[in-house]
Amino acid sequence: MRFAKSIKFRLTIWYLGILGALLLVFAAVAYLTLSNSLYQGLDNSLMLGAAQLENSLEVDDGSIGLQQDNQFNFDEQSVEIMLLYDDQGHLMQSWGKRVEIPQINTLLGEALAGRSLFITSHMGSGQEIRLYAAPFEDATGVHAAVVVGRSTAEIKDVLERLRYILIFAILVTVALAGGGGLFLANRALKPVEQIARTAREIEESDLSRRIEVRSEDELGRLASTLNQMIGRLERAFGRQRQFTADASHELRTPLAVIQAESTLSLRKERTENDYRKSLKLISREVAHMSTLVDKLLFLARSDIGKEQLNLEAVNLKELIADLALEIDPLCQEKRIECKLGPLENLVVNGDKVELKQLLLNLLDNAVRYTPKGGTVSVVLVRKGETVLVAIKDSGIGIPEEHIPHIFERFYRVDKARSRTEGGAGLGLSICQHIAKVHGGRIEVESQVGQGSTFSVFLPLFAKS
Amino acid sequence: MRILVVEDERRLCNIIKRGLLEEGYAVDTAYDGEDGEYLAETNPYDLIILDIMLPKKDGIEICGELRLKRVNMPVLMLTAKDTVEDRVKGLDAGADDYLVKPFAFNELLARVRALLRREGLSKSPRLQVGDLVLDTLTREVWQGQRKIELTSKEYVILEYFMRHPNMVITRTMLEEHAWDYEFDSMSNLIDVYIRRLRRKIDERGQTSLIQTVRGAGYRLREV
Repeated sequence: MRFAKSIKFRLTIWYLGILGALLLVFAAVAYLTLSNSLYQGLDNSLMLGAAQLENSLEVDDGSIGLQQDNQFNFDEQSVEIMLLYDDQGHLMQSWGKRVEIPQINTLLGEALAGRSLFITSHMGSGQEIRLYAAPFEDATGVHAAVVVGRSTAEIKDVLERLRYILIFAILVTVALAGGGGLFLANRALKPVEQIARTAREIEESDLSRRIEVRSEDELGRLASTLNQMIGRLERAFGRQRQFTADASHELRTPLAVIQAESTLSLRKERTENDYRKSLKLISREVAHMSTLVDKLLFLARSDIGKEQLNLEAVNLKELIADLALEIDPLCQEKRIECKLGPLENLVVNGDKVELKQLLLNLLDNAVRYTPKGGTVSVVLVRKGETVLVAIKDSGIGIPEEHIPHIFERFYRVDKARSRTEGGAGLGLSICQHIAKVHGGRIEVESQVGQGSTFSVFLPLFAKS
Repeated sequence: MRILVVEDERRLCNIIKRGLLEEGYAVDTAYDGEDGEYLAETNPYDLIILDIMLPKKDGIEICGELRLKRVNMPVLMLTAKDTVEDRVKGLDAGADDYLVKPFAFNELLARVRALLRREGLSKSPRLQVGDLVLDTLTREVWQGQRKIELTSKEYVILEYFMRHPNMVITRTMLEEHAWDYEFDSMSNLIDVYIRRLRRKIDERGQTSLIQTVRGAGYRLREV
């Protein structure tokens, strides 16, 4: 059943069908042409035989007879039967085989009426005979009738043999062509099976394997397309594995701190102050972990596209002013000057909570990576149909080779440094996601030692 | 016993250091792979506690390179990676033991003791020289029926002596195994500690258990 559904089988069947039909048409034409010409030849030879006899007849005083200097020779090769009747329909003379002719009266009637005709008659034995009757006439009228005939057995025999030959030849050709076609289809499609087998064998765990590409034909292109797809899968799986590994590492670290601290603390009696210190440390780790879990959940929800945006008109100027107040204590602590402006009165259509998180993350980063006494500035301007929020700091900057990766999850420019600052490397990835679902984007410019500028572009609210 | 802790997570590193100090070990710390490898190559630690995921150079690499350079102190891998392949990779790189985070501090200490024991001549957690018995589990020292109270540093020095009975222990060896790298070797602190130890473990009127080997150092003699 599987074989019957295979392409090579169907290809072969189609091929054989077309070939068979063509051969049949060809054979039929050949057969009909030959049979026609054979019958035509028979008729011609009958007519010739009759004409020869008539040429050797003469009318003498109203009676018919063979000429004296008779050249007429009965040629059994061409005519088997030859009969001569007088004008009364009496048989005068006959040559060749003697046979009963069933339709002789019709023939004679026609011939004596002056018309020549062919008929095919069946004799008792089932043999078929071709008959020709012609009048012998001159200006004075019909004097006699000549009837010639010949069995069609030879022709039938030839035709029958031809039929056998043709049928046999067609069958042999079709069979050979079928075998050959199957062989060719097999050979052409063998790479397909190899591709399928390799693809089946490639599991999630060995995505580094590739299908061997041997040719540059359609199948070669198919194989390399599949290879590209496997490559994309491999990269996606790799990213997924990396993410899982990173996430588990990030979660295990605070757990390890909590576990180590609590078990160490419980090893012996300690002062109240020591216990307080331990609990403080543990609670800080728990807080760190719960932010991390929140961020992971946010990203997980965004990955499956299940988050719901509560869209409303958000006045970015007001939002930024609020955020500046929120972040002010941090700035004061590090003696960082936070410059606002120019802030245009611009409105976007978005989720206020998410937009706030986006800008807060960026502001928080700016303050975190800016040394004491630096500046952080926020600008809000309209650029055509988009709104630009630019957050600029005079911080440590980002080395150029890291810029393409900073939005990747768990990516840290300086691993040791940002860990102690409490970051997990998810903030920017969340920012980028928020910008994206709002139809916007984030661009980064940075110079090491000079500072960084994060530019958030969001579509302007149509009504504003 | 001097231990190096290589762990990039400073909070965890500090807790481990605090706990080990409490147990009387001398502890050095490094927060990245390169620093850790440098310290391990230049100091004769009795044990290294090595994280796998480290900035600059990972623990597997460090361990492999240390072993290539014939630095043979025991290595305890400490890591968040807990798949079988990770453990196998760590142990094959030359680590002696593997502990997955998060861990209970008692287990860490037990493994540290086991690894240190493996390095010494005695496999027992109780060290005995003459009638002097030191229990590394309870950290108690007995002389016959008499319990000897020692400060943690005195205990560490005595433990080192008892792990290498009858061997000449130089000042440098003591320095390197009982103190961390902040120890100032110019001071005569070692002599002070030896004097105090002698006072506590020697019976009156007998020659000291800790002999001075002139020009070399000290030796704990078996009675």
